Amino acid sequence: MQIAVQTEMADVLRPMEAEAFAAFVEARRDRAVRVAYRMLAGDEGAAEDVAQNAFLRAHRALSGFRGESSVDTWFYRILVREVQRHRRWRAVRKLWSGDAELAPTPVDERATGDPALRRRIAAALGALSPAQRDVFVLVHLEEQTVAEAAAVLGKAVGTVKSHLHRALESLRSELADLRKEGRER
Amino acid sequence: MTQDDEDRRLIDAIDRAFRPDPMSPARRAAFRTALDARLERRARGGRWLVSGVAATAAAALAVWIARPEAATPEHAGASSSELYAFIDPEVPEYTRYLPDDYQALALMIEPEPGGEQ
Repeated sequence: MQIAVQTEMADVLRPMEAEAFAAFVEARRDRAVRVAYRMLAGDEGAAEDVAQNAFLRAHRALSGFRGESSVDTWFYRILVREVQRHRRWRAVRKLWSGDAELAPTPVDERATGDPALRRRIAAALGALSPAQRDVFVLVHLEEQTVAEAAAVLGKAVGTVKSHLHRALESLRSELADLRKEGRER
Repeated sequence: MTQDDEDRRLIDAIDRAFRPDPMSPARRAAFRTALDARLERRARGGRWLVSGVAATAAAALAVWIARPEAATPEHAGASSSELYAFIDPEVPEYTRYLPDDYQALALMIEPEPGGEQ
């Protein structure tokens, strides 16, 4: 395990030539956009911006990466911080524009899938606290372990478990029909 | 069906329905182009910043060296009153405000404060 992490680090810690960075982005882009999309409750445009910001920060910080965690944990920590920064910026912008109540997050209108279901899920995820949503996305949707999610979020394992429990409880009641047999899409 | 099964069903439904569309090759290219442009802009911004700071420092140094006071003899080194004060700390403070010639006279005429006690 340690050897694998070191090999991965060595690959990444080479001087950040354009090619190496392109490979770094290519390997993580889709997942980074997906994680940001889910954490931002369905704002696709913002998700791509946030993912780009995370890659920019990673590019700048890569030389200082000391290998205390895996490259993925390190990168997703940067991504989560960018998501949180975006949320703060959006909240401040709403306050400045005189609308103290945050408008619902825009959900992309795509031809594919079920837009109504997507809106319902976005609303249900949007009703969670940001911490609960982040934990739910990382553990249940991105299939990280609780310990990995705790490392990415910089929280204690017990705190992550507690957020996870509350998030699931809330989603059970908001989206009860999706739990019943034959009702899932 | 257990609660765990129901939860799994709920999570699977959310997972399937709530994800962005896979990126088309055009969107991937656009993402990459935008990222490269931002990296390039940042790198150029950094170079401009370094050159700007260097140019400003050089200009400030040139102005400082070329300032008119730098060529005036009395500012090029210590004044005679300052030298007196250095050699003899007892030189009265007020004489420092007199022109150099008068300071010499004042030292001859006036007794030093406390010197006759």
